Amino acid sequence: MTRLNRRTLLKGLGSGLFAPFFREAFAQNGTPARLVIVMECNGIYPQTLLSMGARTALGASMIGTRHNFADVYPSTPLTLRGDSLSSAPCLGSLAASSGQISLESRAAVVLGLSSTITGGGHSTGTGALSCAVDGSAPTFDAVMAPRLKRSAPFDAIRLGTSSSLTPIVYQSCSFGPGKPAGILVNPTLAYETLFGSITGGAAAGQQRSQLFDFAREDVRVALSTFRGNSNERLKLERYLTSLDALRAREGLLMSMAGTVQPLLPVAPSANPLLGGTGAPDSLKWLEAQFQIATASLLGGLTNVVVLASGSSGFDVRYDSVIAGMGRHDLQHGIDIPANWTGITGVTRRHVELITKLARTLESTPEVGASGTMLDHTAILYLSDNGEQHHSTAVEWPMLLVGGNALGLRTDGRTVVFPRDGATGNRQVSNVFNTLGHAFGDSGFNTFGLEGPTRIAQGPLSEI
Amino acid sequence: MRKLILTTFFLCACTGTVGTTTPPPPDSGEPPIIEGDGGTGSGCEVLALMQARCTSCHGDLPTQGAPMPLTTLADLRAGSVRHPGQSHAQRSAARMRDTTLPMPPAPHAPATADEAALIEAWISSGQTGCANPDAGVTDAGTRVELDPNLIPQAELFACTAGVQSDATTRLRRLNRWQWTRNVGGAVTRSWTGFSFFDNPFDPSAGEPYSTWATDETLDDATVELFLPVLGEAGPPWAGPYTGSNRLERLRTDTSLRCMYQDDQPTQACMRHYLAVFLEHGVYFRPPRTDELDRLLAFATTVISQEPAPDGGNDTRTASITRISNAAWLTTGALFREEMGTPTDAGRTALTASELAQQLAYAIGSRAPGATPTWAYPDYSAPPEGHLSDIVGAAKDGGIFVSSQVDALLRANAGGTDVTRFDLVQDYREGNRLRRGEYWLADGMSGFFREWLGYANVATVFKERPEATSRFDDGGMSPYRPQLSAYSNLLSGYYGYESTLVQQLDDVVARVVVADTDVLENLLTTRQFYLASNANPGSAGAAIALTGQIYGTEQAIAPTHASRWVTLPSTERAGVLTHPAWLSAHGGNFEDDPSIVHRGKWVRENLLCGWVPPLSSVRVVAQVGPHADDKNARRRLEDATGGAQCQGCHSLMNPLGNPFEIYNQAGYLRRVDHAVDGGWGPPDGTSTLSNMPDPALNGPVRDAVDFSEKLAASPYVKRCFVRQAFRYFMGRAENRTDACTLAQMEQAYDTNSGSFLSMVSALVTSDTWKTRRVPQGGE
Repeated sequence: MTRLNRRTLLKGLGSGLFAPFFREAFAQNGTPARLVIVMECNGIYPQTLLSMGARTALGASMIGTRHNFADVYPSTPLTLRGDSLSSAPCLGSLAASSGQISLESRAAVVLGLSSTITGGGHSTGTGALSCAVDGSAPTFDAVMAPRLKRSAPFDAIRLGTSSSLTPIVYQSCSFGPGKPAGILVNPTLAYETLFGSITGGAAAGQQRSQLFDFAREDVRVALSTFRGNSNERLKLERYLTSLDALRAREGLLMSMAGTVQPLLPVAPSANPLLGGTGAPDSLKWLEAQFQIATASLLGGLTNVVVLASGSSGFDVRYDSVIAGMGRHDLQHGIDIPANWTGITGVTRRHVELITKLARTLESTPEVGASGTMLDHTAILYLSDNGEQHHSTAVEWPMLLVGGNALGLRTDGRTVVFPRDGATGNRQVSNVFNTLGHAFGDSGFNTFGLEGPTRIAQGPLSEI
Repeated sequence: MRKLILTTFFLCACTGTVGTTTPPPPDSGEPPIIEGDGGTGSGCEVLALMQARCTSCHGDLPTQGAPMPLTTLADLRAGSVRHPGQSHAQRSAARMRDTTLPMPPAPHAPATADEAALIEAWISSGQTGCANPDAGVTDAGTRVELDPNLIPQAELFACTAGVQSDATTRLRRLNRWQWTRNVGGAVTRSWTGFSFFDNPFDPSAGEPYSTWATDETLDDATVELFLPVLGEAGPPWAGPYTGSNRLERLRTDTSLRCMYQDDQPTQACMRHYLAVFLEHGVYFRPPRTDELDRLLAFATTVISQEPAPDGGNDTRTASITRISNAAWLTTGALFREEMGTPTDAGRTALTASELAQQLAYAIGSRAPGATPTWAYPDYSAPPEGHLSDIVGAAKDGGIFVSSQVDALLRANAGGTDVTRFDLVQDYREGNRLRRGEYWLADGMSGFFREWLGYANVATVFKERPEATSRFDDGGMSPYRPQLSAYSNLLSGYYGYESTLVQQLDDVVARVVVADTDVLENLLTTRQFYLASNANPGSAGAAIALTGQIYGTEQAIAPTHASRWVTLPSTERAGVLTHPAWLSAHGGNFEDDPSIVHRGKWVRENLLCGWVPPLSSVRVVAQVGPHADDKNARRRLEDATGGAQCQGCHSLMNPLGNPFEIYNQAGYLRRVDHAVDGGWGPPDGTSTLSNMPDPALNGPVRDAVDFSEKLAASPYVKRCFVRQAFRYFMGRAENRTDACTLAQMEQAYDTNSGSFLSMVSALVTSDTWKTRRVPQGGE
């Protein structure tokens, strides 16, 4: 794989109109850091992430062919090292293969964490990423986005797929109570929204700048004569602030265009993943979204990415893995061998997309710090509801990749926590606390709104 | 996709200071604590006690299961809804002495005897006020509730002569539907491509109706998402055959051609074109001079930047699109003004344009003169645009005349049309001809869709939707015919027949168009509109079995008359027994606590009662596991039977129980889980108590019985009036709206339950036509 040189990529961006952005960015002490959250809707089964060594350690005969087996989890946290994570049913793509490095020592599997405050079900909505009742708290991506933004034009980008007939959904991410964050589930819209300024060239950039300048002047005039109360006035002021930000971002994007453009994926109109007219194959659309996310990360357009498969409409189809069946029917027929093959095929494909992203980041040196981009990027893969189709939210199997330079112990280990209800059980919120510490906030100990159901504050020493 | 139901509310986690200590200095910022003999019972002492022990839950917006605010002495003096005849103060004292249901609840220490005695002393001493400013809290007397359902309903209909609405001037950002209609777009879409309806102007999550624009503005993400969608609005204005829509105005008005045909259009040409464009394509009112001047300057720059003519229209089309984009980013395009012109003593009267916009958006969810759509072989409206009679009224002053406004309302609100031309923007003839013949304008139908909350039924996932009905044969195949029919009712994928949502739309339209005893008929009608199952073709069960959800497999011919089916009076009664409503407010499984969803809806939307928000829950909120011996009611009782849960669940569960004769998807149950693990008869019984309308107290047989009782309740009728006020005014009602609410009720009553008369009373009221000028610093 060609090793991209981000130093070259970003060369020359630190001058001119947006110099303050970069002075601010490089003035920040600490390590560059990125967050990528990949969510698989409607259940990830622990079995799919269980390596052979972990299976043996937990008791292979006790586990048998079961997909969920929390009853065999230990009474104290168990950390297994030196095992081959790629031996897990869906983690094969972590292994080295022709021309590709192994990521087994750059990943960790975490089993046994609970998050019952979220309620479970088919989806917990924003609960998965907020460790709270759906819609009642900000999600982790939203909390981290401003902290990790640095010089990036976008705080965060949120992409996904959905079985809903809409290009924007509002289920999985939230800025706070009653403030859902939109997820772009149409790759074409995502491409145009994120790359429109870059692909349009200098003329298009100038036109967008003129457009924003015109709108800003209009709002200023409206404000100068406005007679409403402060609440109504605030509407215009916020709009003006938005236009100001967009105008500034436009200039930033234009200054980055020359170096970012070579990183962009093929345009949607020519992307074979986006063909057809009916309900799309979620895996293909998600792959297109991964392409956009990858380019955005490499190009420095953002440091926070959410990729949510099956958000606000989990009954997505995976025709490239199992044709003619939505996720719901697929899951209900889990005891049919072909269905289980399909379910694991979906998770396996999701992991393949993650490992492809990870390898791209690994092949790209970090700017302003030692190591690679992967060393400074934490990729978290989890479900939006827990451990199965009809989840009770008692377990949330996870895969962590990268982030070694951030202090994450993604060294090929499998960590198994005591099950829900047992002393020593830990929660999803503790993972987010861990990430918060990795991103430099040593006081990040109480993420979520778990109230009396919180088991323990702080990070997990095991990861 | 909505997740499983959250059902367990927990009345705890209220912060409060425990124990008795010396009161801190009045301005110390520390919570005062009652000590010794319970105090003298002054209002200030009581206020201090409330702040220390009550308001963390009973705040202005109650949380943690608290059903009402207790932040002022007026709150304590108010009557208890759940315990008629007692004040909140009396109930507070009683609960503070209640060892079974203590207040504050666990895990906080219960109130001390001294604290309870303080409340009792205050009651016996005449419930005095607190005039001591040093106490830091004064009893203002009039509270401003943060939710209209916290206002005692009777106070909202107590008109005091001379009191005018205190609502101020405002800006209202367009919503998703409105913008789509304004540019002539459909509100239907497919998987591929973008449509105007993909714009990001969904209302905020907290808004009860899409017409509200309380805090709506445009953040940078919204603008970014708007731009790709917006780009399609410009090309139709670059000539009669450019873009995805054909504007007849561009073909017939030759004075506009210079703009898109001349290589160098003159300033006069551009100014004329832009004036027409802004009035008929963006603002839907005449542009102000400064607005026109700015856009003209921008357009001049854009035209000057054009490359050399390319022999076609593409260059100019691109320029006009840039100009259109700019026009659509202006405040006049995105925000509707209700500023008015100053009249007397601090009020303004809305202008003709503002009144016309307000009326057109209310009736049609679009601007007056909104862009017509070319949908072969028709235009959806004349070249003047939709609701052009309202445009005319704005120009000739008729918009200020109540009788003309009433006539405009009645002419545009709905009617009868077998061709359903009102749907021409969204559906082809094949679909339209299969709809019911009664229609309502977008704004009118929007009220019922949003009030009843059924439009998003397809997003509420159902496990085995036919479960426990007589059509449940135990099958689990994903290809079983029952599921095919249910799925097709949601998607309308096979055939051209109506979807479940459209079927309820048609039921509502028939009742409203008849316009007699509208609420009563909505809640009791047995006339339901079903899909024809006569021509299933290759779709088979997906079309043939769509009557099952209504409990019938009778043949329904492809005629309007046949599709209107009178269902058994013992099985269905009105919209709350319609499968679309039941499914939209049902859970995922047949034994899920749909009771909570449905009961909460009734409490909030038919009784205008307050239920603390789910977001205040801080505990695991789940019912127990599925079990053969537990139906939905028993699972819910197990989970919420505790006293700590009943503070909220007693407000919902009894109102939801009657709907247990239906399953989660709205099928009539044939059986339900019995306590022995087998099957027994469904149980829709409930016992209602502490209802705001005492006539509703007592036993209820099932949802049919319940609907009939609700239909007869004057209390429910008033809530219906309030809901209509909220939707059409785009805001919450308050006490200063009492005269208008009373007029709406009177219009409804004196016109035999006429919904249109009720709305007419609103759109001709002083509340509708004027606003209060905000005070300095407000």
